[in-house]
Amino acid sequence: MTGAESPPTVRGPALAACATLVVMGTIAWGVIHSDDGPVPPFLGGPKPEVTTTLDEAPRYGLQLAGSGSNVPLTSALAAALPDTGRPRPFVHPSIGSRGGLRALLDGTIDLALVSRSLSPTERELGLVETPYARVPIIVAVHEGVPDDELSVAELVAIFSGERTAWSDGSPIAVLQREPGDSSHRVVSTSVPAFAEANEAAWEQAKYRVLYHDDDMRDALAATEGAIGLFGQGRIPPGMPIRALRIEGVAPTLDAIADEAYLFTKDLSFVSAGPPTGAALAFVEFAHSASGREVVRAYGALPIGGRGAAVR
Amino acid sequence: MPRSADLGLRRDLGARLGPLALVLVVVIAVSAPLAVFVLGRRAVRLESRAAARQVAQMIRRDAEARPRLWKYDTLKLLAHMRTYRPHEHIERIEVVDARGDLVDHGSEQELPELAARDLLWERAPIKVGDATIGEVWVGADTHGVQAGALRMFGLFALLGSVLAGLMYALPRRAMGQAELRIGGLVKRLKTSQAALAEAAGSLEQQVEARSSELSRALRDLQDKEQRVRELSTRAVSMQEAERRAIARELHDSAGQALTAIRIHLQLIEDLVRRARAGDESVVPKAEELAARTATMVDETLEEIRRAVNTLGPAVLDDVGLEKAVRRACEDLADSLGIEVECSVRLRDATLAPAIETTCYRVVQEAMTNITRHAEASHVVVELVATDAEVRIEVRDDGRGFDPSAERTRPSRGVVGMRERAELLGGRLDMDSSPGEGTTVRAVLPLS
Repeated sequence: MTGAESPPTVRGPALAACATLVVMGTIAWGVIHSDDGPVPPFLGGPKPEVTTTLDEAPRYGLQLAGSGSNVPLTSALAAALPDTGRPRPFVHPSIGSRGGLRALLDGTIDLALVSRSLSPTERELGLVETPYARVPIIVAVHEGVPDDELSVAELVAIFSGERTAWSDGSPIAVLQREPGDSSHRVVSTSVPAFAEANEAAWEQAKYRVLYHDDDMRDALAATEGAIGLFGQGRIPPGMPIRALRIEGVAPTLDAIADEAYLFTKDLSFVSAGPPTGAALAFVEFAHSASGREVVRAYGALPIGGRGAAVR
Repeated sequence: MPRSADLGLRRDLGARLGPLALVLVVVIAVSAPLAVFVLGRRAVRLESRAAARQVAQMIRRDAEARPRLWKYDTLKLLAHMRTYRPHEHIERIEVVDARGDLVDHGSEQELPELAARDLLWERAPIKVGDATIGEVWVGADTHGVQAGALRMFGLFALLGSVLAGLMYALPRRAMGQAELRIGGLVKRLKTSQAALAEAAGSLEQQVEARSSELSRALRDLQDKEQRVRELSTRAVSMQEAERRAIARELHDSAGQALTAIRIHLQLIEDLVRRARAGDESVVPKAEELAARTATMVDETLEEIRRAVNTLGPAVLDDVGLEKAVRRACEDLADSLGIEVECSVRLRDATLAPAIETTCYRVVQEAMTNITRHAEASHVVVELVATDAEVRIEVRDDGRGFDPSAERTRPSRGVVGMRERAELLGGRLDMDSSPGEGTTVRAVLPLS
């Protein structure tokens, strides 16, 4: 074969190679682009076909919802509210302070129950905060835990994972609340080392996370060696849960009043603008002597009142 | 030796392998990374879908407990799920209600950023009973998968290049080596072809030469046959002429002499009768006549002896070849008064009569020529017999002659000598030049 004869013999392999490359490119392009997922409706994708709205059911009476820390005390206040013949206030299960504020802004509820202070942004939205009780943030443990008190340093060591056993050697089971929980926020604000340990634990998914105070309560009761922050102010009667002393101080009403107990938070009603109507009546009841008695009976310190409703 | 490029096999193979090598590079570089990319994205999608279902299941429980406010409680779950990402690829979790609106209004401010991030989204419906109250959307970042696929692309491109290079180079190298061997074979073939052509030409020349030799030999053979026929004819003619000469000689000499002798004897008888009758005067005449008759008888006997010698040298029968030659030499020396050297060395075995006769006749004829023409003063005669042949040489220092003239018109004596030698398978040559004497050489084979 001579060099002059080469081009015709090369044409076949070259064409085959080009065809193969084209086919492969087409396949690759098709495979890559056929693998694109659906587009969410908030990014321009199609809306869901089935529309069922549970929040459009008719409402009866004052609707209150928000932080789970408020729910038991608010429910007690609602129960103590004198009967006026009108529908009694309805306290929804916990949806969190933020959820309560969002529901309030959406007009789904009348009063939001919050266990933290409003942010400047939230205040700019016209929300009005009315504190009515101060409750301790209980460092709660399962009743089987041998220890009765902890120092702040020990609390940080437990949440950071440095300490993993109780004094009798039994393992410690740490229970966490979700980010943004008011109880964790209060402790984190008071103890920066706790905040750091708490954040790390969240990011590492180191511990079990509960989303409601009721869930925390049930988990503490059901878990041997459990420890967690409980924000409802008091241990429900009959539950196998104990409150630990922190730095030697028990979370009692007197300790709260004397500010001897380190971790407390204020419970508030939040309304869209100054409360009116049934909302105002309920707030006023909470600040009334009867209401304060209910608060004290609950184990919380009454705060706020006429002339001091807005902080 | 032709280089590999001369045959073009390696170049042609390279031209065929080049596109295939390119395809191999692309296939290896693209296939595995593409599979990794697709499978990686599907794995991410499965993770996202599983996370979405997990979140949807959790929200479903909340929705069952809080049918009116479920989506507000979801904010806590979202806050936590955004902090704790179920999988490393999951970048965003959003929940929409049945209207498709975001439950977390705070996320609306981040929508442009979300749209720009090119996340891979998966969803799971939130169902309470048979009703779908919303959807959980999980957005995953597949750039890690893409980066992994790109890294693998680079690695496999390198691997494919190496493999394609080997696939391209090794056969070309083998083809180059084969091409070198083929080139060597081609060269050897061409050399062999040239040698074959040369051998064919040489063979043709040899055949031609051999044919020429054969033709020449055939012509020689035909010439010899012709000469043999001529010799035979001449021998018969010579034999007939010799017979006639003998007859004529006998008639002219012996016959005439015997007739004269008979007449003399009749005269002598008459004279004797007359003498007996008493005439004494006739006695002297009778005696004279008797003497004359006796002389005639002697002459006649001599004539007869010469005739017999002409038919065959009886001297050979009498004294043998050696002595006959020596006697001839002595006779030549006596008759011409010159010096004649005679050297005869024969074998012990007896030579055939024909050989001896031819030897003697050649010597005899050479001497006759010397006697008649040479005017020589010194003659050498050599006769040597070996196992294979008999060599005869007679040379003189006479006046010699021009051989070309002899070949143009040879003498009968020379022709007779050559014919006698050739009749016995031998040959005869004459070497002479004017003033340089003459040498006659004859060789007679014995086998």
